[in-house]
Amino acid sequence: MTRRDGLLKILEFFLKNFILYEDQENLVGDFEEIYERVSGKSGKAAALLWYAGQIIKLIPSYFKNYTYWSFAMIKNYLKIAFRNLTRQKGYSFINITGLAVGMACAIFILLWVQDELSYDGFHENKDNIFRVATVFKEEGNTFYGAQTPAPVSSFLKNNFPEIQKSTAVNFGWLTGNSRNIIKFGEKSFYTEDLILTDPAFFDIFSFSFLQGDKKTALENPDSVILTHSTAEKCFGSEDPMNKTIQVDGNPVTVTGVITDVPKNSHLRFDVVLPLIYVRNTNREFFLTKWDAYGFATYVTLQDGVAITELDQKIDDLIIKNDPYFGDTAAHIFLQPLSKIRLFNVDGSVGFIRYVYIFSTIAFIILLIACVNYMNLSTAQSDKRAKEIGLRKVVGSKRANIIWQFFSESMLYSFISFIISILIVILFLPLFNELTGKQIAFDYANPGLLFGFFVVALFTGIIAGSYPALYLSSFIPIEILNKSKSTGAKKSPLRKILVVVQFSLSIGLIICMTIVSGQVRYIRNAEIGFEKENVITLPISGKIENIVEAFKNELKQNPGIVSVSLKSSSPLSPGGTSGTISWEGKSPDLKVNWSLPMVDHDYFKTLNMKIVDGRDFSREIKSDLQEGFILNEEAVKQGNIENPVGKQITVNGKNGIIIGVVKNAKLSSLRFAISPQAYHLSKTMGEQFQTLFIKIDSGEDAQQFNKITATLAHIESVWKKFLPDAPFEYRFLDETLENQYRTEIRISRILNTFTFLAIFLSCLGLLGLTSFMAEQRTKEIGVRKVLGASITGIVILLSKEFAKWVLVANVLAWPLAYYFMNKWLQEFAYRINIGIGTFIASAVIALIIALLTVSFLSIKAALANPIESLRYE
Amino acid sequence: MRKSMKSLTRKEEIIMLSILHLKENAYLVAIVDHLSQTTEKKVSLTSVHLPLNRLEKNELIQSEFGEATAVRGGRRKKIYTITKLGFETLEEHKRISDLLWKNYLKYSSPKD
Repeated sequence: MTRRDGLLKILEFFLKNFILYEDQENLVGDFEEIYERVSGKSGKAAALLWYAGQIIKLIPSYFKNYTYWSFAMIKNYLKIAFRNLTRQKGYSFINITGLAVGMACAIFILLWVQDELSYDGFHENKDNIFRVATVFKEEGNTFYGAQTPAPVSSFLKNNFPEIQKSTAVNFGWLTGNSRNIIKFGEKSFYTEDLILTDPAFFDIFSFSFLQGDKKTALENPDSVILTHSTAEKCFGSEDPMNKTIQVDGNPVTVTGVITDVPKNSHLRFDVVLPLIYVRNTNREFFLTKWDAYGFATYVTLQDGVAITELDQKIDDLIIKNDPYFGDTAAHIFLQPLSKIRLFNVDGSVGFIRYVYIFSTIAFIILLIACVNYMNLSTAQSDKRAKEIGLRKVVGSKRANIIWQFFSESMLYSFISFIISILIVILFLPLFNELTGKQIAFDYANPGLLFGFFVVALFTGIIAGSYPALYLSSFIPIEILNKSKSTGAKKSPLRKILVVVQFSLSIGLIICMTIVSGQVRYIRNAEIGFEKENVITLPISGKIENIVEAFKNELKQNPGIVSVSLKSSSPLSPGGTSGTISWEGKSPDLKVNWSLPMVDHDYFKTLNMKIVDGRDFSREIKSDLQEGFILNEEAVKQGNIENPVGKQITVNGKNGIIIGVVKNAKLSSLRFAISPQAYHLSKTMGEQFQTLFIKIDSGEDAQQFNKITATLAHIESVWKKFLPDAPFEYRFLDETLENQYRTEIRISRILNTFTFLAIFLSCLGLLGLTSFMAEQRTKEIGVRKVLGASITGIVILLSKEFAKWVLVANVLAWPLAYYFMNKWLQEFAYRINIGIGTFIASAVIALIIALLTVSFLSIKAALANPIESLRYE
Repeated sequence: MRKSMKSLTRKEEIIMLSILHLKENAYLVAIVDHLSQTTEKKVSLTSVHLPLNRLEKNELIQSEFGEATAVRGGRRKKIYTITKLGFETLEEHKRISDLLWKNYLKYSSPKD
C-alpha cells in the first residue's frame, strides 16, 4: 500500500461521497493512479491540487445525481410509510388523531398568542409611541401608575425638544360620571367608553377618519367624534355630520366619524370629546392640577432619542422645577406602546404570563402527541426490524434509514396537519367563546401560515427523532438472525417517555384542580354581604332634590325590600383621597382610606353586619353630618382601640366613629380589601353614582313573575323621576361574577386542555398496551395453559403501567406546586394548596391509566390460548 | 435501408478504438493516457468517464473488474471490452465515414 497522508484521505472521502456506489471503487482507484503519477512528476503539492480540482469539477454532477436519487428514495420511503400506515390502521389512527389534536391545540394557541402580540400594532408609528408612566418611591415602597396629572402633557412638550407630540387622554371621569348618557332624539344609551382628549391624539394614533378632519374635529369645545358603530346606533343610516347629540344632557355637535377601534387596541372608546368640554364646570381645574393622577399621557419622540437619557432628563427637570413631584417622590418615565398590553407598568411580567402559560400548555400537548408517536413507532420495531436489516444489507447507510424514518414521521405529521387545520376551522367559534376573543382564521397572513408550517415541521422532526435514531442503530446481523428479538422490553427510553407523558398529564390535573378550586373559592367566598336579589342602577349626579321622593315611591311596591345609594360604582369602594385623622392616631401612620358616601339604608340593603357600635339612624340627626362607620380593615390598619365614640376628622370635617361594619369584599379578591370610612354627607364634593335595590324574590315557583313585576314597577318610577336617564339595571351577583371573567376563562381553558392532554396520554397508553399484549400473546397463552387466572394476567399486564404512573408523580408534584404557588400569590385571598389535591390527582391519573390498560389487557387475558399457541 | 443503429460521436469513436488498441489493459486511466498521446492534447478523466458510461449503457462496450494493483491503493480496475453490437456499430460507422471521405475529398480542393 502506498503511503497516503491525511489531506489525501480527506479528499478521498469527498470523492467517495461524490461518486455513485457502483463506480466508487474503480474510479477512486483511477484517481489515485493519476495522483501518484502527477505526484511523481510535479510533486505532492501539485498532485493534491489536481485532486482537489477534480473534486470541485465533480460537484455539479454530484448535486444533480444526489437530488435525483434522494427524490427516488424519498418516493420509496413515502410509499413504504404509506403501506405501513394503511396496514396498521389502529396504530395509524392513534398516531394521526394524537398528532392532529396536538397540532390543533398548538395552532389555536398560536392564533391566540398572535392576537395578543398584535395589540396596538396597527398604529403607523407604533414603535415611536410611549405612554408616560409614574412611579412613587416612598420609604420601602414603590408604586407604579399608568396615569399622570393633566399638565404633564404640555409640560413635556414645552420643555423637551426631544418630544415630538404629546397628548393627554381622560377616560371619562372628568365628565363627573363613570358612565355617560348619549341621547339623540328619543334614543338614549349609556356608554362607558367615552374619552376626552386633545387634537394631537389623532396625530399620534392611527384611528382613521371616515368623515371630518382630524386636525379641526376637536377644536370646538362642543364637538364630538363618534366611532362608526356608535354613529350608526344614534343616527341609523342618516349622515351624522354636524348633527347635535346630548352627552349627559349637554348638546354637542358631531364633527367626525372614525372607524371602530380595532379589537386589539388597549385604548377602547366609542365617543371622543375635547378636554375643554369641561370648561365652565367645577371640574375644569383638573386640567391644570398637578396632583390629580387621572390622565393617560402619550408622546412620540424625535428620531434617535434614547429613552433612558430622556427619562433621566425629565426626572431632573421635574424634580428641580415642580415642588409637588419632588415632595411626594414621584417620578415619571416612558413606557413603550408595545409593552402596554402585555407587561405591567413597572416592566414586570403582566398579561404576557398567560401567553407563556398557554404556549407551554400547547407545547406540552404537542409533546405528548409526539411521545405517542415515538412510543408506537419504536414499539413496532420488531415488525420493522427485518425491513431495516434488509435495507442495510443491500447498501443503505445509517443516514438513509434516518431519512426514511424522518420522511415517515413527516408524512404522518402533514396528514395530521391537514386534519388539524380542519379541526381548527371547525372549532374556532368554540375556541373564541372559550377565550372571549374574536379570532378569525386569516389564510392570507404569510407569517401565520409560516408559523403553522413550522408547527407541522417541528412535530414531524420531534416525533421522528427517536424512532429514526433508534431504529437506524440496528445491526443487520442481529435483526436477521431469527433467534434474537429486539423486543420492546429492552428499551428503557420508552418507559421514560411514558413517565414524562404522565408527569405532564398529572401536572396539568393538579393545576386544573387548584385553579378551579381557587375560582370556586373566589366565587363563593365569605364576602360579608348578600349579593343575591340586589339590582344596581347607575345614576348621574343631579338627583339630590328628588332622591327621597324617588326612594319612597320605589318602596311603595311590596316586592322592594330596601333602596340605597352609594357614591361609587357598584363594586368599587370609591377614590382614596383626603386627609384623615382620629384620636390617638400615631403621627407616622400613612393613611390611604376609601371614603364612600352612602345613605341610611346601605348596610341594611346589602345585609352587612355591624360588629361594633350601631348603624346610621334617621332618628339621630347628628349622624348626617358627624357619623362615620369604619370597616374592620380600617380599624385594623389604623390600629384603633375601642373605635366607637372616638373623634375622627375627614378632610377637615369633624365627626364621631359610631360603628364598625364587617368587611365587605366587593372588589375582586385578587386585591386586599381597602380600609373604608362610610359617611352620609359630602366630605369633598362626591356624588351618588349607584342605586342599590334589594328585592324580594318570593317563592321559587313565582320567582320569575314576581321579579318581572317588580322590575316593571322600578322602571315606571324611574321613567317618572329620571326621564332622560336610560334604564339599565344589573344584578349585583352577576356584576360580581363578571370581575372574575379572566380567572373563570383561564380555568375553563386549562380544563379543556387538561382533558385533551389526558386523552392523548391515554390514547398513547392504549396503543402501547395493545402492542404489548400482542407481543406477549404466546406468554399469556402459556400462562393460561399452566393455570393462570384471568385476573392474574390482567394484573400482570397492568402492574408495569401502574408503576410508571406512580413514578410520574414524583416529577409532576414539585413542578405543579411551584407554578401554582406562584399563580396563587396574585390573589390577596386564596386557597391553601393541600396534599390532598396531589394525592387525588395521582389517584385519578392511576385510575384513568388502569382503565385504559385494562380495556385491552382483559381482552388479551380472555383470548383462547389455542389461538395464540397454534403453530402455523 | 439497414436496421438503424446508434450513431457514434467522434469522442465515442476514438474511445472505442482505444479500447480495441489497449486490449486487456483498457481501463479508464489507460484510455485517457492513450488518447492524450494520440491526440497530443490534454484529456481529463471526466471527459472520458461519461462517454464510457453512456457506451456501456447502450451495450456497445461491457466491463469487468480486473486485478487490484498496489499503485491504485489496492483498488480494482474496471476493464472495458467491445461487445458484438459495439463491433457492428463501429463497422457501420467506418463504412459511412469512408463513403463520405471517398466521395467528397476527391472533388474538392482547398481554395488559396
